[in-house]
Amino acid sequence: MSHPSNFILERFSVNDLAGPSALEVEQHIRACDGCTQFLAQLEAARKARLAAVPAAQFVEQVSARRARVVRLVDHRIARLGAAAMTVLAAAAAILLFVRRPDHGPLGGVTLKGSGVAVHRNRGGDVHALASDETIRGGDALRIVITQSRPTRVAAWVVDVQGRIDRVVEEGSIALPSGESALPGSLVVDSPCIDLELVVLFGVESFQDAERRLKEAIPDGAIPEGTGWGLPGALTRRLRCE
Amino acid sequence: MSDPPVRLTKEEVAEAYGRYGHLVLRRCSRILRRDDAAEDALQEVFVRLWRYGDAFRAAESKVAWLYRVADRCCFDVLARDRTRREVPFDETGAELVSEGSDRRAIEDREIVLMFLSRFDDRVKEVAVLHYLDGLTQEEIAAATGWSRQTVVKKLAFLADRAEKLRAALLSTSGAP
Ligand SMILES: [Zn+2]
Repeated sequence: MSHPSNFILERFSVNDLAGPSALEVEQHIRACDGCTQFLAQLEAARKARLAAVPAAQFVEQVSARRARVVRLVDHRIARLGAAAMTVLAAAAAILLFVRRPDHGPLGGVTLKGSGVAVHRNRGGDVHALASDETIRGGDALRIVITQSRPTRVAAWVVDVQGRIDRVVEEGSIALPSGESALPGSLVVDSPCIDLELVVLFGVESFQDAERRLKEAIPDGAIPEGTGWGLPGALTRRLRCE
Repeated sequence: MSDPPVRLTKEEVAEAYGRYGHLVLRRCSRILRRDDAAEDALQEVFVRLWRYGDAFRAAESKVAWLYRVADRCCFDVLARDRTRREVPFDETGAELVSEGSDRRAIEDREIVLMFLSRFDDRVKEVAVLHYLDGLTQEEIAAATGWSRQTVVKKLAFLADRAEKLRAALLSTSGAP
């Protein structure tokens, strides 16, 4: 038998190989200094890593990071020059007022003249996402809201498996009339999963709104463009490429 | 309303880190070539492990699952940081050539990994599976679900690019 691949040896080193393959590798290793050495290096690396960052500490780091993963506040878009934002605003305006009847229940006065645009930053290329454009892991998204009078706005992303993430960490946010971007931006997870963006205008009780949103999530696939049965909500599907 | 898919507990995440963390970190370091970025990617992989715990539990090979996620995390970093981190040609050449006395020692693997951010994600994936994992064409085809022909083409493309990059490196580093 020639040497097993690095991948196989790495799997073997952590008992990730099934019985027969593991036996084969074991037999090879007994007679091979090179592979034995490689395994010893892996084990040394494991010990060194755990000494440097013990599991409990690492889990704390990941836990803190996890709390902000989907709605990770990312300031890269915020750092864009004013000129770029003006161009974006113009592009967004086109999108914003294309009121598609399948988007949202269109109930409630707050919706009149309300709109949502999504700006996508991919490797420094920023523009308002057209309805046929897609997202992928690593894209930073900024949500730009337009409304005709000041209200509180809440926004969530719901993935196709029904997981909900708040876009605004605090829940809802008071926004002036006209156009405003929600603070921070979303960074799309990898692997990318289709998302439904749900924006609710005129929020009175965030707790209540979120509860109703959770109740609206069905057992099966997430419906597209139904408004989620939330009066005053606009939805937008963000598809992965 | 249905319950969201089951996520891992802290204990399970700690256990997975204790067992696989060093392997994932090693992989990220080799793809990203920067310790801080690799550390960051490692955390990102475990955030996703936490989040997609049900898929991890169901995976036949935990290492393969983690490596695929690690690759995606690293490719995202490469795509985001490409303009910032890419080392100018002349500098890289000098560094590489001074490392070993034999210029031929600049292996395809080193060259491909150094310039990984230049390739599209599918080529990146093939590069990592081939040059880091040492997988054969058949194994790469099985791992990615692409046809053997696609894999062969991408490997040929990589070998060709490595050759050209090597030539460029040697010429900029003052080789005769
Ligand atoms: Zn061997």
